[in-house]
Amino acid sequence: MNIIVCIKQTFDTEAKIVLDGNGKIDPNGVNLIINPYDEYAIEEGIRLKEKFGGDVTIVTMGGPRAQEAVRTALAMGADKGVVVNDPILEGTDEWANAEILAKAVAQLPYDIILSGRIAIDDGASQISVRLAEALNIPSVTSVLKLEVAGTQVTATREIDGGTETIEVALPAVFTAQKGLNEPRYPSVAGIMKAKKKPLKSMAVADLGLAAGDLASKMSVQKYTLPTARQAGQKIPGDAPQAAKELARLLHEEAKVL
Amino acid sequence: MEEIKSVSLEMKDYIVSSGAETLSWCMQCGLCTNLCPWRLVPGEVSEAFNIRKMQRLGQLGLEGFEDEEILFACATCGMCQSNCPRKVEIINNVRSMRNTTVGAGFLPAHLRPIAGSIHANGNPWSGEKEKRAEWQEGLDIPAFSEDTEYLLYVCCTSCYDTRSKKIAKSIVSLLKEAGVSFGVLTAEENCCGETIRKLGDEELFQKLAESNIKLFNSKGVKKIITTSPHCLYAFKKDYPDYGGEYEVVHYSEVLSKLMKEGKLTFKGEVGKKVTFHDPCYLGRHNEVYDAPRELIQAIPGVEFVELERNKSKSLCCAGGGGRVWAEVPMGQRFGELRITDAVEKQADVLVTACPYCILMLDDACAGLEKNDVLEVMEMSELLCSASKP
Amino acid sequence: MVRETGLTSSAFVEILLAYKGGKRMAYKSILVVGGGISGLTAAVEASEAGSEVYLVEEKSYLGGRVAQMNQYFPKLCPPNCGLEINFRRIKQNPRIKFFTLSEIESIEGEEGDFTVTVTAKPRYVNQNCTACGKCTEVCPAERSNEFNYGMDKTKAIYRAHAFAFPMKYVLDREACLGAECGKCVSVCEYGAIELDMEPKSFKLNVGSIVWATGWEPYDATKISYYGYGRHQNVLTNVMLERMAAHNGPTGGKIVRPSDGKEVKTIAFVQCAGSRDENHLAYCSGICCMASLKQATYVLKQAPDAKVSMFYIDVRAMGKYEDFYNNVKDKINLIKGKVGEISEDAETKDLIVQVENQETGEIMRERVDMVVLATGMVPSTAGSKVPAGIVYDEDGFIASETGKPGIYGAGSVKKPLDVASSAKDATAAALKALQSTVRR
Repeated sequence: MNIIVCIKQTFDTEAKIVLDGNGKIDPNGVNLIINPYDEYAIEEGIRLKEKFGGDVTIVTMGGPRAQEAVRTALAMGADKGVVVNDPILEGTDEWANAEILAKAVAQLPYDIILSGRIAIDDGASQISVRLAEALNIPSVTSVLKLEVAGTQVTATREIDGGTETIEVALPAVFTAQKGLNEPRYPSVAGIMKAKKKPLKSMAVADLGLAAGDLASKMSVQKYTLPTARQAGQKIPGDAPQAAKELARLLHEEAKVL
Repeated sequence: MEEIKSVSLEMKDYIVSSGAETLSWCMQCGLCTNLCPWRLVPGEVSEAFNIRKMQRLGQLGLEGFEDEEILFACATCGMCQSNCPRKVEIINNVRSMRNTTVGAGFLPAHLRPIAGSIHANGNPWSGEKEKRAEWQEGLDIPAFSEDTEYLLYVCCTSCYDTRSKKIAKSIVSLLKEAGVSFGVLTAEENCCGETIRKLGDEELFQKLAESNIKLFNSKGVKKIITTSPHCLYAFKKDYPDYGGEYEVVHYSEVLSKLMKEGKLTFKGEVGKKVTFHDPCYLGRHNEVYDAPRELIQAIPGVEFVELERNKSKSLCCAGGGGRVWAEVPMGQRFGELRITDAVEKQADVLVTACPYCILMLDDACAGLEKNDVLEVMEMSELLCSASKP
Repeated sequence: MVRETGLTSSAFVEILLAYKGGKRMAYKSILVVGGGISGLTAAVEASEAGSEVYLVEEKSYLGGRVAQMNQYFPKLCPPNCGLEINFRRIKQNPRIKFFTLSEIESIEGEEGDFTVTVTAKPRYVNQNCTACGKCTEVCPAERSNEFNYGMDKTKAIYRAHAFAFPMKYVLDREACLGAECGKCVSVCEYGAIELDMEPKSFKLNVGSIVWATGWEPYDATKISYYGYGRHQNVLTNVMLERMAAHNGPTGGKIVRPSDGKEVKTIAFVQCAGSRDENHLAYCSGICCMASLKQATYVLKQAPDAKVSMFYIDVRAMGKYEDFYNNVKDKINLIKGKVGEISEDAETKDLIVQVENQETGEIMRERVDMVVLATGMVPSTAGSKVPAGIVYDEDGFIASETGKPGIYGAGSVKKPLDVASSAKDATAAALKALQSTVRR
């Protein structure tokens, strides 16, 4: 089975967001990790390989440090890696990114494509579905359970207040939701082997794309940091009194009720 | 029958090159496993964690030592290492084994926010960097300058944790009373990095060490007083690896010396039965046993009793080596045994001198519901309570 | 008649002068310091080759630690058999003069011409003693019996042990109540007790010296996690040896010090303070065999006893392999160094924390008694030879002492079993002889 897992290297969940002089997010000194949702996808990919044979290829786009994320995935048990590393990526939007990713994925054989359902940095949650559209294959998002039988897949996906079950034929794109599996902790042997696994690096031009093909359809106007958290308010009195006062505050001041 | 595993000298070399130079000295006698405090509590981790076996797996390059539960169960208390017949540096070996996975980007889930916080904020408690020196407001603490003798370095825990801030304030008060020439650089400091190094993140430790060393050297720091024995260890034993050479002491050492010179006296009476828990990092790791005892016993009215396991045999609170952030069910924490021991000795107060020990012992005392019979106090707090009649 | 010399203020020996190419061999006599198995062997071997030998022993009896054994491996011989042979050779040989309760003060001179100052402490009992024992019966004072490692007491005037050689009583002046008591003096028919006996100092002129002062057991109180000195039923190997001996504190019955009950479960803890940089870095080589031997004592007394031996490696060297093979299937041999030994406060049972490395089982084994197999420390680790001698880093006398004419013999050079000590002493006797003759 040819398994592709698309991952993104993001800021650490604990990272402090700081804006630089130009109002852009400052990436200096920030710790980078694999997007936690992508870890579920990597784990699922490896499990499919263990069950059906074949191999797992990791595909990512990013800056010079994106390789680390791929090596980590290889240490978990993936077999090969592809990194699209190009300065042009600093200015591309979700549409352009999906076009680039589709070109990179199209070069590889694939039966199934996995990814995390959302990236924790920008929270756009678009690229996997856009990728499926660009490749003209089906996509199922927020998957909690994946059952593969030959070329038929039964996916259980999370919806508001419940789940729904979708049957779809491969090839298809699936995005992982938390709870799909428990990502494995790699062995040292795996880490050592990962250093020797093939990792291909390519620029956008290698995919047959030019800057002109990728004019963004959406641009970011401005970044602002959220307002500082205010101190909490202590509401005095016994339970019925306090509850009444709380309801009043939530209605009149916070305007949430 | 167990599956056949392959020995890998390559893996062993990888472990040794991460810092486990003494791994091959181990003759597999097994004393370490049998002195380890995990033997004193029940549970899954206790049954799985066997330090002798872990060293053996490392020596042979066999898979299995990196199991999350096992590799990160060690509290680095040093009981094994201080008695090892071959003087194997067991804790360095554990650190190196952790580095083989952590260095490749894998920390157990519960520790990732800690590392992330250190990266982003310079402390493991997700406290904002700008607020590191907030506890000093209104205390009139001098800034460190060329004319000050000591830099007072306050542990991150005491800069951010509400309960722990009291410790920093007590220590400052005592140092002032004893006339110590000290100053702070708190706002510009980062975590000393002792624990993150033990967790195997050598890269992050290096980042912290280099930034602190640059700060200290640029200000002309030569001597450091630490509030935590963990910071004491980091500056004394870890920082020379990265070019930081300072004369480092724990606050108890400074105060004890000054007390003996008559510069610090205790006028108030504390008519209680007091016992002392030797923190692993003050006792076994840095061999400071007498200073805290001299201080406590100088307080009028104190009846001092020793715990069953004291000094070099002290039983770890289970906070070191990153364990302070581990989720451990009640009944499986060896810190609880310290509370039981103190209660059995009918002590009124259990005193210790380490912020992690305070967290663990406070927790254990509350969990065992012994708060009505036993008070857990940091030594500086006890000393402060006795400084005035 | 016993050839122990009673002395006046100075005793000089005949001077034999030998010339060879200008080197003057002043004295042909040999001094042997230490009356244990090594010293005895060196003394009789040298004297039977023609030398005059002086044997100086600090205790009141000859035989050293071998006299304190129950049996020694591999043939499980009672030591008094071999010791008696040596004592007979001494009695028959006019060329051996021995001094008990004596120590070497100083050594001056060089090979062929040493002047040694000896101090003889008073026995307070003279040549008239017939060892009838009446004094002991009436003596009101007691002392700790160091022959039995403090496991029982003797009276202030006592006989060192049942086979003591010389068979004369001795008085412990510190335990003795003094002339105000005087009960022993009154009851002695032979006028053998002299409460006012004084120490004497005398010089010996000798051609060479054999230093054979032997060993002491490692102080097990230093191994804090084993609880020796705190837990009553934790013993050392030398103590168990006394307990198993017929002339020991319990008449040969291996019982628990806490309650006198017969031992049914026992743990031998090997390498107690040995092969350990924090205690004795070296291996004493005899403790594994000693424990295997002592296991046979326990099984003889109680064939259904559960005997466990916890080891790092079992060292039964050379031909002793046979002994090991005979015993190993009768006991639980478990590979794993023991960690903490704790005590059940009520029953005084011991709980031994140890891992069985072969099965991976981490055990907390409950036993009646624990025997710590402690190692051998040379006497010269503490008290040095009063001459410029070379020692190794553990205090043992080096093979080349660096002082011509002075030779080490036996366990003071390295840890040895009884048979090897005797051989080493015979070799030392030859070297000592050569020093007096030099052809």
